[in-house]
Amino acid sequence: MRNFTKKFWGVIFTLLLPVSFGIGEAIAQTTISGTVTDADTKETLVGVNIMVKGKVIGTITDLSGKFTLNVAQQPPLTLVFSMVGYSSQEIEITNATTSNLAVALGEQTMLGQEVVISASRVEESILQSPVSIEKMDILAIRETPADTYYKGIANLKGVDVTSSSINFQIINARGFNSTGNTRFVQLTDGMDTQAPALNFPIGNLNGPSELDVESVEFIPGSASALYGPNAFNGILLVNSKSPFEYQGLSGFYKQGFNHFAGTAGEPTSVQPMFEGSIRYAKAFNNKFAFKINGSFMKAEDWYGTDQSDMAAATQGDLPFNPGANKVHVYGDEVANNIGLLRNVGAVQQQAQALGLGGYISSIPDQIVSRTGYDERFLVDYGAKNYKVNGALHYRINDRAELSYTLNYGAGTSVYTGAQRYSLKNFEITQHKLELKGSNYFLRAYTTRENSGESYIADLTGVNINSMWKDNSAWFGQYTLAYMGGLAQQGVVPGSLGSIEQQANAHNGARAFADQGKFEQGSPEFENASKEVQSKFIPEGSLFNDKSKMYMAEGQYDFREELDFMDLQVGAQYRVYELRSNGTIFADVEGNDITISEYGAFVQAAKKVWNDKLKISGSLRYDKNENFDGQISPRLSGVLTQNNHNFRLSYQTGFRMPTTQAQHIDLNVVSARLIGGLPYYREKYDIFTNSFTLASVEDYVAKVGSGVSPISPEATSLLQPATPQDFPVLMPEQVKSIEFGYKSLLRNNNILIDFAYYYNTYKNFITQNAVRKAPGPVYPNPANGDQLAINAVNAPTLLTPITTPGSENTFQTYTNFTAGNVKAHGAAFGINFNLPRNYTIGGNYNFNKLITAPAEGFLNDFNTPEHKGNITFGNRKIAKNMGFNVAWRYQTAFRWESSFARGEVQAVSNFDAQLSYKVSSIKSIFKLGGSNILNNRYILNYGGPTQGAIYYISITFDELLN
Amino acid sequence: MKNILKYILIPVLGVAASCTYDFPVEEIQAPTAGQADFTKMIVIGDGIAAGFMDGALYDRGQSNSFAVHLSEQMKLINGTAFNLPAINSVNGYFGMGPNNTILGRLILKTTNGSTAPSPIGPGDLPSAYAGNKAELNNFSVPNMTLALALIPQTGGPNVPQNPAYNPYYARFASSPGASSPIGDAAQALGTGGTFFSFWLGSSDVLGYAISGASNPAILTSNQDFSQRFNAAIGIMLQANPQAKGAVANIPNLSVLPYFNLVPWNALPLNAATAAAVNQGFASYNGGLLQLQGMGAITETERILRTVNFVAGQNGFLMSDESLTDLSQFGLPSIRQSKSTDRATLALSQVLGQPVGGNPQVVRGVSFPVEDAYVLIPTEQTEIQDKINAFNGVISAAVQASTERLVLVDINAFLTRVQQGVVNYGGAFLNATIVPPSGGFSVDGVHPNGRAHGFISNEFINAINAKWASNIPLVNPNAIPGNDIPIQ
Repeated sequence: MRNFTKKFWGVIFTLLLPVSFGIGEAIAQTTISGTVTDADTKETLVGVNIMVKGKVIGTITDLSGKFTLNVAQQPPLTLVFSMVGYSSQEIEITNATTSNLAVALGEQTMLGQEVVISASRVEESILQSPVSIEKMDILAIRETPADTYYKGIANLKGVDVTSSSINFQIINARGFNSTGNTRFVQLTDGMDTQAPALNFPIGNLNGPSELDVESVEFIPGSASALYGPNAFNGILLVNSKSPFEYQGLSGFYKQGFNHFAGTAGEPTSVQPMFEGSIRYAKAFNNKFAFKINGSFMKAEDWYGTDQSDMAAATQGDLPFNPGANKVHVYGDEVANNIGLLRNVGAVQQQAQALGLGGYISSIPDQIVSRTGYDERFLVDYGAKNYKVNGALHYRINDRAELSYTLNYGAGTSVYTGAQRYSLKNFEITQHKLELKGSNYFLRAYTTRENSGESYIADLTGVNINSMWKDNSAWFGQYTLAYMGGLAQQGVVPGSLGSIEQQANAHNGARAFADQGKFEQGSPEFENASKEVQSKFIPEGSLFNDKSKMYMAEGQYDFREELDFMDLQVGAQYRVYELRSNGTIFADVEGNDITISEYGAFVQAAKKVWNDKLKISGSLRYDKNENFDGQISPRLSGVLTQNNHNFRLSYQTGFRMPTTQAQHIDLNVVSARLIGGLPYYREKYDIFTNSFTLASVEDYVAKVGSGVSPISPEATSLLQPATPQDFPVLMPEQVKSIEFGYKSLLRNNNILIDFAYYYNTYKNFITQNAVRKAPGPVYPNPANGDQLAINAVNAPTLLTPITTPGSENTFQTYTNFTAGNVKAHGAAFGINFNLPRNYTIGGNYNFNKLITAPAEGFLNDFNTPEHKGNITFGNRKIAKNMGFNVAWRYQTAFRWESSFARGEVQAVSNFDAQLSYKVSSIKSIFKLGGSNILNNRYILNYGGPTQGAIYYISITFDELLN
Repeated sequence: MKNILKYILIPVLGVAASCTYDFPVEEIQAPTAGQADFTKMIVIGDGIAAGFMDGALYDRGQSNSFAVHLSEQMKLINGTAFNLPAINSVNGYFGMGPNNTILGRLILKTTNGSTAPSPIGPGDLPSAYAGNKAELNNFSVPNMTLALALIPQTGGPNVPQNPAYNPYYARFASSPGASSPIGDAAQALGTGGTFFSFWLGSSDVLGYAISGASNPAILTSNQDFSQRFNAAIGIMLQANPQAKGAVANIPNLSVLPYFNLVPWNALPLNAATAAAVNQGFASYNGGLLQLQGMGAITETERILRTVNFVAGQNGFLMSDESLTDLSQFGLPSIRQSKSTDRATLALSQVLGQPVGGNPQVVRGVSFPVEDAYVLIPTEQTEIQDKINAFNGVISAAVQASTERLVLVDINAFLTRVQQGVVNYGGAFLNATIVPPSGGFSVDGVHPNGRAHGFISNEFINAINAKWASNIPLVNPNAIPGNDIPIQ
């Protein structure tokens, strides 16, 4: 597989060459020229897009509103004139030479006029889409009150946005949100933006900047039938501007501020942030065009300051928890039951030497954790993002356009995975080659990840601690000092002492064991931190990942061959080349892991009953080398009666387990994460003397309450882990029934949209964990022999062993097969066009999990039950002025992830913006803010605390009308 | 254009076929015999190899000896049945109790907050082995010295004139009074045996140590040891010229809890008692001063011998035959114990107890603890020198037949155990009798079941390394160690 890159591109070129050049040039010519004006103001319009219907050829109007177009085809043909904010117009051309064509475009004020492409992979009216779909066009993007358009997506109906950093937003729909959402696909210009190894969506780290984005289409709900694996709970398509259609120079600068009124552990002063981008596109002869974008942002990231204790169950009666494992404190994941040290010869000998031998049996079965470091000392909060996007387009002829696209993004951010990852100088590069006609496309692209200097924050804290003092020495000193503390207080040897005496002994023991500790922020600490961050996992905390994904896909529409129905076919092939060099996967030297999968679909649609009912169906087959093939059908109907559009669909979707779910092999301190393929279970022998972690947690809590670790009262809680509890990983399926209604009322001035879905998940992919003992543990010992064996093995279950290579806790990906997981929800939206250009809209979303996976499985529905927003704005309140406000609210909900579990409080946010256009300098000024009331909130448990961002921006566009 | 699918699918399927990942083949070797043959193993040894623990030979101990675990692992290769002279007793025989009751093995009992070994309850006298003696594999006999292994008297007759008699051999001897343990083992090895384990010699020195070095008659001389050891191993080697064997050596004295459990200052006294007792020694102490003045003893010895009890922990009063004999002056050879003395576990039963039912005569206070309960420094040195010498003989014997024998260095292993560095999967083994990690059974001398698991692994590692075999290791944590203390 080493030469895979070469082989892949070789195949792609041999594919493209015959296809693109095998098409004969037509000889006939039609020449059209004319002027486009605003129907209202009679002013000429710059940058109007003119396309020949059914072809890839077209042009735009110049600075004086004029255009000329040569088409290699005889009349009749149809020209489509379109412009942002205007209703598009189709004009039929019958003369081979048409000049002085005068076209006047009217401003678009009506609702529901958008054309969407993603719902059926063909253009259709948003009203007649067979599934729910939302769209943000250029105007919506420009007018969003949020500080970036990506955050503006949060105002769409049915969307959930969460974030792990100021520049890292993650989109989801229909529940089961996560910070690295793997049930949702994000495509940028048709390219999947999931990072091949770290599996998070890189959408807004390397996608188009605000200047270059043309539209955002969002489909809540399964789209696997057309988009393949993982378009499971939904899909987001971000399309950039074509250099043919959007030309000229444009620029953007935004100055923002955040960290107002910081709380403990946060910056005490307001921090500046800025973002700038520039775009230039030019077409030559309507044949060749290019564009280049560059953008840069920099901000002081939001801080993770949650000091909640995730191990509170082990506290017992003490006034504080010596075994605390705080959310945003790292190093305290390393914990040990000091009761185990009673049996360690070295401790016994030292205790005897110190005259403390009598206190050996005074050591309680108490879990103690090492003293950790706050996240802010371990994570690089200097968030930044550089992006370069470029494209070269060549129209081979009227029917085929060849393009090359480069999306490069690099930056620093924070990602919440199984732990908090400080993404430092992380790079994602995508190259795409695409051949596109009006009825087909063929594309090949690659996504290449480079982890740069990214590291795991938790592991850094742990390793700094071990570097200063290894764990066995620290726990030994702690325990001896604890015994000394008891002796000092006059506790009778052999007795535990009062709670107060124990608490004093714990405090003294920690102070003693921590003597000489690297204080966070000190030079020794910084040196140690640098050293740990510079060494690869597992010795240090540095990733070494250069994984790649290759994808080839094509689609053909039989619209020219078939009249009586619509028919499309498509196929795709994808290969992952995992190259984490042992820092995520077991892909060490000599073990190059690859994963290949392919799929194909066919879709047919037909209108019946006087074209009132459109029935469409699709069928897709996919195969991944590690799993059985998957067939996913979709059937839908749209009934259009006057202004009422009813839609009903039944679809199935599935998702392939992610590359990590298949192959991960990583020590994350609290556990070793292992892939769900059978190989990894055998490698770590996870079913021998092993118990489900959920039952181990109950056991730990029971011991924490004062019960002996070998008492059957505690051990009887242990559930042996069996292969039946951990089915071998397989794809997850969803069956989704959706009903929707859309209608335009009052002369198209009110748009209402309602949708209800009911999802049934089968073989739900989840994670489950075991903890292994070094020998058998009999939950209900039948005799003294079994009790004696328990005495050796059971207490080791109290804490994870964190040393790489001898871990006792394994977390693996598996499926929940004992039943189906069910969720349902509804969304309702209404938009009004009010007099004098005012618009008001609102939506309400309901999502609820009906049947959760069984206890012990991660229950990561992670979605508020009720959520809504209201937007109010006016694009043209005065000649050059507009505004927009949005209010969002969501109820509190529980968040579970492999990093942390806890309650996310209700969030209520106001975004607002005011814009002012200065035509003389072709610029728009915008003043606004996200969360202008500066509420402090988190979007996911374990995520950073966010606050207000206020900004002022200027956007320059050479072709601004 | 219609051919587009063809253009896509053919190369795609071509690439697809060539892109399947092969998981690495784990290098888990199947169990193999290497250059040895484990078809039939014969075991000869003393109490450890017999599975004697907790002061008795009883079912659980017998079936958890390293010999049994080792044979089980050999069965994963080509080993066959491994037959023991089954004792068929749940608690075995520890000794006789009051009123001629038969006591079973020891267990830790907690009474009044202190925990100590104590007989579990009634036991059984060893009974004759009823099975087929010709099919036995384990010929180990508790308390068997090399001399006893070589002579037929070990099997009988059971008469007072025959001090060699050992009921544990008599019960399975092929011909009691005529056959010898080594002879039986050699006979079995010669009849299809392929491998043997040989662990004799410990009893030649430890029996002497356990009885406080009070009976020099039971300490084997270096010359005798060398001669007998080579004779015994020679018989085994000759029994089957093809068979290979593993030979274990003798642990150091200092690792045995039997000599560590009772501290030198085990005697607690309050101020009043101490003062009262001291009065009783005033004339003894005065006599010492006089004799020092006369030059009969040095000042160092006078200080050593001076008896002075204080409030708190005290060294106990003991006999020391190495002191200058002052009996002609009416002064006994007594002193208080020092930190360099090692008391035996047996002392814990009698220390501070009245002697002969007289409450005024208290052992360790007013009555000196007898030689049999204490190892004084010179005795300790003598014993350790002996162990070193014997281990030298064992190493040399193994070296002499290096093609056929491998040394299992149990001495080094137990030293590591004492250092607290031995563990399996993070669960430690230490040189105490305290559960769960203590590796010695509660008699303080013999390893417990879990420790036998570790010992099996020592054998396995030595055998594997020597003959490139691959016997899988045992999980010692699956074998019961000492019982949790009972009330």
